[in-house]
Amino acid sequence: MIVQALMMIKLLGAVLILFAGTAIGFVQASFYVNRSKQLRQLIHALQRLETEIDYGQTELPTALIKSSEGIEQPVSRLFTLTAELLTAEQELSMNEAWQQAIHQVWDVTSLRAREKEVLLRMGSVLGMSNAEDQLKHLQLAQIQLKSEEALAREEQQRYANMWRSLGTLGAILIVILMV
Amino acid sequence: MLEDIVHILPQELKAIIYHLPMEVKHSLEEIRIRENRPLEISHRGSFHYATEQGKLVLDPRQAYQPSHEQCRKLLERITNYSLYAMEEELRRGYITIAGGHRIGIAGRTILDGGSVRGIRDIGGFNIRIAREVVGAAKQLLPKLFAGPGGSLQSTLMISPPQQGKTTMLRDVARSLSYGSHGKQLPMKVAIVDERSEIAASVRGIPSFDVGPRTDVMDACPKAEGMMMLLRSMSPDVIIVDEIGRVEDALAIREAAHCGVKVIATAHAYDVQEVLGRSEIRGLIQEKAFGSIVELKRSQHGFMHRIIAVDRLLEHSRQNSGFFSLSRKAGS
Repeated sequence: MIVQALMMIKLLGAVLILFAGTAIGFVQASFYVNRSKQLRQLIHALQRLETEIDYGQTELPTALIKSSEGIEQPVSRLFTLTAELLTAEQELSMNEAWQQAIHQVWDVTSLRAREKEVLLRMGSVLGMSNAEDQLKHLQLAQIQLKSEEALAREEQQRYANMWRSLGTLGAILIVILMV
Repeated sequence: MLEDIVHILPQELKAIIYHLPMEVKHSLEEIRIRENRPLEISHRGSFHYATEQGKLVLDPRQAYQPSHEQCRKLLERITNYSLYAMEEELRRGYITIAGGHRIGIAGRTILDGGSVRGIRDIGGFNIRIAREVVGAAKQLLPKLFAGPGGSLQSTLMISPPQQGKTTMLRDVARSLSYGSHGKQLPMKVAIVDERSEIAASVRGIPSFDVGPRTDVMDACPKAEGMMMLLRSMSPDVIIVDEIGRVEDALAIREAAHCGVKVIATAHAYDVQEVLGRSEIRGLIQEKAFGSIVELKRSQHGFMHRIIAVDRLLEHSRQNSGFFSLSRKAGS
């Protein structure tokens, strides 16, 4: 009886470890998947912003909200939050609002410091020159983000699968060692 | 009224305007903001510099000096963070904001093949406060209905600058559109607002009350605008500011052919001077206008003198004719 109960507990523990290991692996993998997905969405949003500024001549607060449509959280939040900050009574400049939005949203995203730099640089000129110049800056940011995205996709292929199997395998290893 | 202006100002400037003496606030005409130079306030024809505490002084050294950062913020707020959407306005040199106030801007121009394409490095703003005078044309209006059977006549209003031509024209448009003059039913009014002064439209919507039956063609060249409105909006009367070019005259003739009345203004000190301008003289000789109104602004309000074109033509025929009149104006 007691032996059987002990076996049950051991089995339960092993299953738990297996679960935990797999979960850790998946979380690590999802970081790579999310990063490339979010970069892609960011590029889409900037393309949309480009169209709004160039053909639409839409004013920036509206243009930002329109660019956020059709992409997912948390990237879309970056744009809607900036627009909200601009229309709020705080009297932030465009650059300040953009910086604040980035700082608030960044931790929830899977994006890295390099993208942050690109976006901050872009934010410092956003809105404050003619359409031609705006397009140049937006396109430059897109090119930089695209190269990041290519890297991210490569990493995703290499590491996402690795982490998924590593998690499970690691857990199995621990179980075997413990048994 | 000041709310629209205060709303766009950066915090420090907002506080200064807020602390100005009450009577100055009520008679404010211009706020002149120049980067790193004294803040200037002009009110009821005189000017002062403003200190950080909102006191008015005449010594520029005591005055508050707006910083680069503040000017940049002001520009962002005027343009709603979208300089790129204001290229046309920048070429014209001013931006109209909600409430009909106009903000003139000065800075370094960008040239394209010798003509100005825009302004960058903007370092000077002139915020001109617009005031709507409802009822300005009350005295004048009944006299515009001097046509056959008391119908509205095409009218040319003339006055020197800053004498209230535009204010008057706006009130005429509004009254005709409301029918508030009691002479006739409300009319379909069309305004060609080349310089966004009459209706002060922001994104196509008039800031001033120009009446319920009024259509506005904003920022549109006068002659082209008149033709477009004739075709598209079937107006009873067209309102247009500052005529004088050949195309304007053609469009006014076209309107006359369609039976549409035109109420226009022109820069001139008196009838003699306006007759010296050949395009306008031609229109008057053809009786495209039924009467001419001379406007002046005095301390008691708007003054006007009406000259019937029939009478004028008769008079000049009896004397040595139009050409002596025009020569007198030219000399």
